Amino acid sequence: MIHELAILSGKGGTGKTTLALSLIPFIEDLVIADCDVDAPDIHLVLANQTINTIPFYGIQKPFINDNLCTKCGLCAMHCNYGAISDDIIIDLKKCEGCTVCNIVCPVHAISMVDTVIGDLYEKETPYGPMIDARLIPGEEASGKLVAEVRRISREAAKKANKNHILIDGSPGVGCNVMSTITGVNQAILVTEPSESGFHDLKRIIQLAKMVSVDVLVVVNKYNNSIQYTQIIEEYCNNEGIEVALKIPYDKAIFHSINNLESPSLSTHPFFQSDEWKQFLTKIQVVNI
Amino acid sequence: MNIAIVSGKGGSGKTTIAVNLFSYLKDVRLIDADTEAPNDHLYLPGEDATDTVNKEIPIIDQTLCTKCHACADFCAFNAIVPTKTKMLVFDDLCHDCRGCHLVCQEGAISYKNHPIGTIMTRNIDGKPFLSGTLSIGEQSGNKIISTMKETKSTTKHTIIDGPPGVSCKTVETLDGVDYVILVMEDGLFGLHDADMVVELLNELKIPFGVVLNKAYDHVHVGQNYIQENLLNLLVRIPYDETYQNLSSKGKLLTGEISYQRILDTIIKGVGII
Ligand code: SF4
Ligand code: SF4
Repeated sequence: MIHELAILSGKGGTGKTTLALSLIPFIEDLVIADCDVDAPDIHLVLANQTINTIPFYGIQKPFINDNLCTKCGLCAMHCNYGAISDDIIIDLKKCEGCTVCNIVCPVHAISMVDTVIGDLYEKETPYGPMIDARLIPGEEASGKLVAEVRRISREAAKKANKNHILIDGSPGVGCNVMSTITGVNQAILVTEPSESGFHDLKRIIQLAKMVSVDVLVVVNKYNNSIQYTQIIEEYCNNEGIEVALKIPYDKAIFHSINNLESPSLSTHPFFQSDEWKQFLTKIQVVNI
Repeated sequence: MNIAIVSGKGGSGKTTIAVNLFSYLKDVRLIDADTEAPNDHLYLPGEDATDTVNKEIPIIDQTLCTKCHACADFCAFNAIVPTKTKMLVFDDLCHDCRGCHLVCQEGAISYKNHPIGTIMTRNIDGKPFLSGTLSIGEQSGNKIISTMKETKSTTKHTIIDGPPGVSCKTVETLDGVDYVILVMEDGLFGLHDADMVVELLNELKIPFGVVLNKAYDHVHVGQNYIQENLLNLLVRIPYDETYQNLSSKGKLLTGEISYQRILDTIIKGVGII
């Protein structure tokens, strides 16, 4: 059976991708899925080759045949997203592809056309195949692109006989994150010890509960505020959630990323520690 | 003047700039449009008034429904799923397009309100502050963002703290703004993610300036990127532990003289008068 592990955080910038990069070298039998489609970063460090680029048609968008259009304004009236102006010009960035304009047009001047919302990439890394994607900036339906990254990752895993998929998600709790977390076997929630880190952690925990996914919490840069780390630990305790790892703040981790190096492969002492090794045993995709 | 504050990467420091700029300026209102992770309110305590934002979802009258599937075939978001006995509506998938009743020949579809989140309003030293929160389990906060932006305001300026990334919620945030402050965290990820926002801003033709945040002295990635792409650098904010500590506790930085200078530079660069 293929086992999927997702790394998420309600708040952005807590160190999701850094943790993913640190874990990757320790997971055997791996396919990497970068589901952060509007800020995909793993590939920057794992300097991999792109083997295949697949355009993703996630949405249908309307096009108006000016020869037929009588400017009656019905489409503009019915579009609930304000994507059609009074002089019947469609703002494709606002369009959500609902096709309402298409069905209300009395002279059939509007046709719906499959539209590319982003590209998916099949890549090769030293640790196994990787799938990532890049949303065309400003496009709709990013949740569908995430779902497609996961689908192709599973296919790649089957084809290459791999049993583990590590998924790096995006911040927030909306459609992208729901597409990322639904149906995974385990999720790691990365937070930081601050008022906002704590606030957003509570929201992502709530989402994980709603979709019945098992979670572990990681507090990154925990020594920046021992006080908030304790608050987070207490909260998780009450929720029956394990704080499985506390990573100290260290500039060296940031620098290893800038040097295109997985932090856990540098000589950084934290990744030699017992805490780190113990954490690895708690992650279901690591074979130890 | 409507000013949006955005970033490619989460955690770049958007919120810090937004709440401090808001506190420092006069005649301004603040909208927190990061509805999935709204944090501005943690810095700006006060009494709340809360409104619910609804979308309209279909209810299907089973006595009229002939199970023809027309609505299910039509829904571009797969929010209506046909089963043998009835049409199932998935509330959270519905995008509020109000299209399904147009294709139903039996008149079986009407709509009801379904809450997707809230807008909290606070008065901070006489200045309005609005904060939108998407309910857990809902897909999109776009309607919450547009509703906040449509509320009337008598202030001269509006600051909108946007979501990270370049998805449709950022487009919603940027609709109708005059200027964008792009907060870019120094480092490899920060500049790569900012690059996607630059692409979007150029396409939307909105003028913008960059705040290079959490800059380390010997790191030149961010600075180089800004120079190579001829971007307008508003200010470079060095990584500063005092700032980090205060911000992590939900405290404002407007009391720090050095930070006031940073804000002054931003205000001048943006041209806020
Ligand atoms: S497809 Fe829907 S959202 Fe797009 S323009 Fe037509 S009515 Fe508006
Ligand atoms: S209103 Fe639109 S999105 Fe909602 S169920 Fe009907 S067709 Fe689908």
